[in-house]
Amino acid sequence: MKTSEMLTLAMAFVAGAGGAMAQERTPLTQDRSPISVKKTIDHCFNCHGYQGRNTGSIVPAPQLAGLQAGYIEQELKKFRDRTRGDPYAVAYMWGTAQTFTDAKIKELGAYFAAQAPISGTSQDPAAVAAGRKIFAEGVPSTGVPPCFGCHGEKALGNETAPPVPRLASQHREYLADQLLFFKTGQRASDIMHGIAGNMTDEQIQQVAAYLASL
Amino acid sequence: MAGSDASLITCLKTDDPAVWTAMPHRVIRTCAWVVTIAAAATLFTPGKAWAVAAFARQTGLACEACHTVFPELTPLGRRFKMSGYTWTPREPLVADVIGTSPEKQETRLSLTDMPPIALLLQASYSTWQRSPPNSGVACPPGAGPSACSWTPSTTEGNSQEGLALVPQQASLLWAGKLGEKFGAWAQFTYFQQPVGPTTGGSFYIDNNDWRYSDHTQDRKWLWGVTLNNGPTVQDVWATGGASGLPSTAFGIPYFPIPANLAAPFMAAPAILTLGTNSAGLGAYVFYDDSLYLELSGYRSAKPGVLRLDNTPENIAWNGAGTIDGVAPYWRAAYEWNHKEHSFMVGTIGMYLHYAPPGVPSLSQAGYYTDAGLDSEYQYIGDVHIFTAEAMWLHESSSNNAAVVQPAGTVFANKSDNLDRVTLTGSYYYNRKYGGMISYGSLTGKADPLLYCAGVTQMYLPSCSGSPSSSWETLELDYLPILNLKLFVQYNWFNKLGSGANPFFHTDLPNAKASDNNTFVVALWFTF
Repeated sequence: MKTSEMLTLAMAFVAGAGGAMAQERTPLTQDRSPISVKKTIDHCFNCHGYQGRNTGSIVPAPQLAGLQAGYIEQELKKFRDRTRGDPYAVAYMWGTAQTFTDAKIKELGAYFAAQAPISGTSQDPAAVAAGRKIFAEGVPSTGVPPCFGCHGEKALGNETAPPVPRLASQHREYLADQLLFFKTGQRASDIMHGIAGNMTDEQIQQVAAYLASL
Repeated sequence: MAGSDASLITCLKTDDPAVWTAMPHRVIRTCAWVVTIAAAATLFTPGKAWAVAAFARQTGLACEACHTVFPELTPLGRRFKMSGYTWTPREPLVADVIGTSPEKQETRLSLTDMPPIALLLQASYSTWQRSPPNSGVACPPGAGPSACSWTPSTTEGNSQEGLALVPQQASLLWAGKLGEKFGAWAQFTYFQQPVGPTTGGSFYIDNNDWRYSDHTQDRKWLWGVTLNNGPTVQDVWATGGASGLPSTAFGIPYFPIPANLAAPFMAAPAILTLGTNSAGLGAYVFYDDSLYLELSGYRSAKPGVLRLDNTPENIAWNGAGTIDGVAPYWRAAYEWNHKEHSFMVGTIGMYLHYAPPGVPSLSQAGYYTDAGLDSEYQYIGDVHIFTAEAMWLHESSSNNAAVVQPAGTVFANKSDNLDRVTLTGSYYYNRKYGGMISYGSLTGKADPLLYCAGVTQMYLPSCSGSPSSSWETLELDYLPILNLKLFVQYNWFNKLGSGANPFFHTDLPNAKASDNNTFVVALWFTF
């Protein structure tokens, strides 16, 4: 091979390689890549339990099974964007969701929404009774509206825009923590900040116990 | 009895100058190094460091998910380790799959985008109740230990007041997911402990645990295989061994030549001394998120290199002794979890045909049975964390007649036993302030040949040959950030078995157990 031909070949190779490197890398996760989403879902099970159902022991992760798909998507995006800043979100979910694509988030939402939620757990009867009253009637003296107005009569939530999450049978500790985070503003939500801000800590514990028992 | 002080027998067993000069200098220095590290392993274990930011970067989880306060694990952290360090929400950077349909797809390659590298740094300053002998004293070659004596009035207190080590330890770790269902913890350590005539430290292969793990989707069954370099390296509870608390290698005073001793120099059951000196392969299952069962087999491996080598010349200087063949190791544990509470009861043990340091040939190995019970309780709240750990380890040995008196000179008894009990409690407030308190005791059958080996003429008459020791540790911790621990640690020695007190190996008079009481100020960074 002549030197000039070799040189041409070499230049073509370099140009080709450079061109290949300059191309945008196709995202690994495709819209419907089963193996990728399956692995992510399996990873979620490590904390959230098989199919999104867990006892709340070992790690304070909420139930995901039966939650609204739109709500799961919304929260995963907030974790990814770091606009939800309550302490558990920061410690557990910021890093977790950082590399999730929109497509994957949609898949995760759809999967967990389709899972059967656990039943309610037995809670302190006095707290449950007081919580039921708050859920149904609100706290008129401080301007707290009844929760069922948005969350549904049985606290099953609904897929509105924005979505309202199911609260029934969620972990008592998780519900109470989130209401407290809404109250302090650590978790951003104008609506919930206003509501929780007008509740006492005891009322928060009571409504959490009621919802966990459903 | 398996224990670090027995290695001293090999190196400095005799006052006979002829024997002393016959030993190649390299062997003496190597022996001293091994003695120091092995001795350290009995109480303070270098490289007991099970917390790395590589895991945080891989999983996206902050330290609190898997640790109470590092290195102790939470229930979630235990499951991460059992799962072979493979958890990650991140897509692999490079993957390869085969299969004819999505349902039949198999991942053949999964390389992470983030190399699982982490670093660990430790620094410390230690002082002791009684200063070690003057480091400037040279010991003439050809002389036995009794020729290396110091006149207390001129040498005691002349050594440096305390020992500052910056760094005390620096480790490079490769820790995390290596592929689908495969992960590893591979630690490479620089440990700065002045040994022998050199003032530098040593590099060595530290804890290694390489795993395969899989599980049913519902987590009813989790199983795996572990390839590791020491019994308890693979364990996930903090009750003892490589993962036990207190987890420090701090406060080891340096005794200069000829003794090159680290204090205290206590005996320990073999299962605790084989770390980084053996190679183990085992299988385990974790059933229903509660019951853990493991069976592993260990062979001796040269320290620093995972080599399976039981040749006699290596036995002589292997500070941890040598296993003949393969020693089975078992571990069973049952863990209950309810909300913030976690409680475990378990059993651990090993059966060895084993030649401890000092036994010159593998054909003179004895039979050792180590069996123990342990328990751990954790309350992990949002603000308050309280944990308690307990372990009782019992060792019985049946010594080979060839090394038992009068035929031999290693053991006085045909059979020996040792009981080691440790109790630890810790408390943390907001994972920021806290500490732990620990009590340890060692009791066992007296064996003057074994436990008085290396003791100088001054102390030999008072050497009872009992291994009986007891000690306490108090540690106060401050964590300005979750991956940095600043602490002070006090170690008190109420009682030390004959020969376990390094001052018994010198001619400094009036040696007591409390001479070894240590105060440490230290720093531990992981990132």
